Amino acid sequence: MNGNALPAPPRGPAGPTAGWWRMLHVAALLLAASLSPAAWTRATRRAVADQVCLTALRTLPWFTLLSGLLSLVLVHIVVVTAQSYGLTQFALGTVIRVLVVELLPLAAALFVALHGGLADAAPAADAEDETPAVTGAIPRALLAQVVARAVAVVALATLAGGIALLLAYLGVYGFTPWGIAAFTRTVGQVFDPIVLMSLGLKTALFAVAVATVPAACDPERAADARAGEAAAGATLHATVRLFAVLIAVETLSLVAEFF
Amino acid sequence: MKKPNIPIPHAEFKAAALVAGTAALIVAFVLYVLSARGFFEDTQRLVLVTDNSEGIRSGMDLSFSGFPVGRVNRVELADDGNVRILIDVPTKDARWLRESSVFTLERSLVGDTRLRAFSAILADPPLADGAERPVLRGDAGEQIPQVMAAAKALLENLERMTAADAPLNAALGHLQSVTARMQGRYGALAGVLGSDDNAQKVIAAIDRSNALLAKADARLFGAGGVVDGSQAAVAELHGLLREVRDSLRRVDAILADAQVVAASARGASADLGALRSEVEASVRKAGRLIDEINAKWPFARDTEIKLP
Repeated sequence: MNGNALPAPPRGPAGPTAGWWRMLHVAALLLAASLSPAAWTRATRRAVADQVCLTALRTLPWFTLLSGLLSLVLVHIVVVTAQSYGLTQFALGTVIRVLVVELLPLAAALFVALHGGLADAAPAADAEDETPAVTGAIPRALLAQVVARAVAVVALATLAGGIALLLAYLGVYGFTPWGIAAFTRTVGQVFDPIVLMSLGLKTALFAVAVATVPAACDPERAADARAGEAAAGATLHATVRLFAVLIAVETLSLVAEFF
Repeated sequence: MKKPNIPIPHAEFKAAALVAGTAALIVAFVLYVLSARGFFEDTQRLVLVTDNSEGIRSGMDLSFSGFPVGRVNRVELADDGNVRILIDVPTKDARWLRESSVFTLERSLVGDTRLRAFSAILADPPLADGAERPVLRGDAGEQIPQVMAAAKALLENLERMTAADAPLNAALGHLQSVTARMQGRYGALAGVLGSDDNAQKVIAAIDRSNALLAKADARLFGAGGVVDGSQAAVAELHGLLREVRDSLRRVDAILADAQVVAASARGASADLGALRSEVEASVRKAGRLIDEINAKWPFARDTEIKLP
């Protein structure tokens, strides 16, 4: 356990419900601290910038490459299948729905969560970073990492969505400008207000979950470690909770879009 | 994640660029979507009225000649129970919709419902803003129950036709027995006549007819046959006719003589007329002479009539 992490909240009654409640409590604290203007001192901004560069910019090329390949393969599969069934007019809408709306935001969240390393949910301590960003509250390093993870998820999902749209256009119409009108029309049909709001809200919730859940599980992990529990098991515990939250958010977005 | 030991150069600038770029992409995408949905276009309202809104959803296109010229804004239920489809038509595309335009709602078994506009007379006045038009519906799905009912009736008929006691089945059985008989020794004749025995009788009758014809041919056209006798009779008749012709020629001469005799008799008849006149004159003279004798005779009867 890192010495600069959040002080472990008082342990209430044991059980899964209490654990979830503590996690939500700490996550809310982290979110509130991130949005607090008083926390954004120059040192904090510097730390956040460093973490953004470490978390987002380093993962951006790899994720862009992988999401591009995934988009290319899926676009080709959908377009060829639609052509074979004579349903070409639905290929573009299907690709946009599957890739941009559903797969890529989830992929971005998982990529950031896994690439960042759930075991290192809180950064290593040093004398400077142990200084709380807000007096009596969140250490600066932890705050920087939370913000950096959230920024990384949004940036990766946005860039991957843009690349997927470009590849979908090229996959359906090829290198010609004459499909732009039809493409724009299809995009307008897919992204109705509900889908657009759902996509934005889902990406934001993914970002919040990836940023806060591992860090919020950290005090518990510390307590568990003190109790003699293996650290690896606690990391797995945080991973399961993060995946559960991501799946819950995805399910809610699907409910909002299709029901 | 481990904290970097080496400071990242221009970290704040890079982070700011990433955040700014991401925000710019998001704003551009939202503007693009709003533009794609016609948020920045001048539109006019078209209301289509129908009795069923199945398949109609907000955002779907109204197409003209395959090109989208409008977009469904919302669908609402009117007080009279009809469905009102509110469509936003961009002003630049409104010229394709005229007062005489016809609107159709087509539902296919696979794929989206389609709203279409047909403007046969583009010289008609343009459709006014807020105009209400009925929609002609063509629903392939609605035909399914009718098709299923017809198919069911057809299958029932087929089942009746193919039942064990069905007339068609019996007819096919009869046909099978006929064709089976036709495969026998006497072929189609046995199939038509019902059995080989009957066919054998017919063939025997034909054989007897052939024998009879052979005998008749011998009797008719053979040496000393009927034809030869007939030819002799004809020759004899020919001689007889010649004799008759000669006889007639002689009769003709006799008739000519008779004609001459008749002419002589007609002259003699004229002389007899004069003779008759003379005889009648003599008789009248003799009568007058007798009258005179009687008048002079003493035994003459008193012919005087005495009046009282």
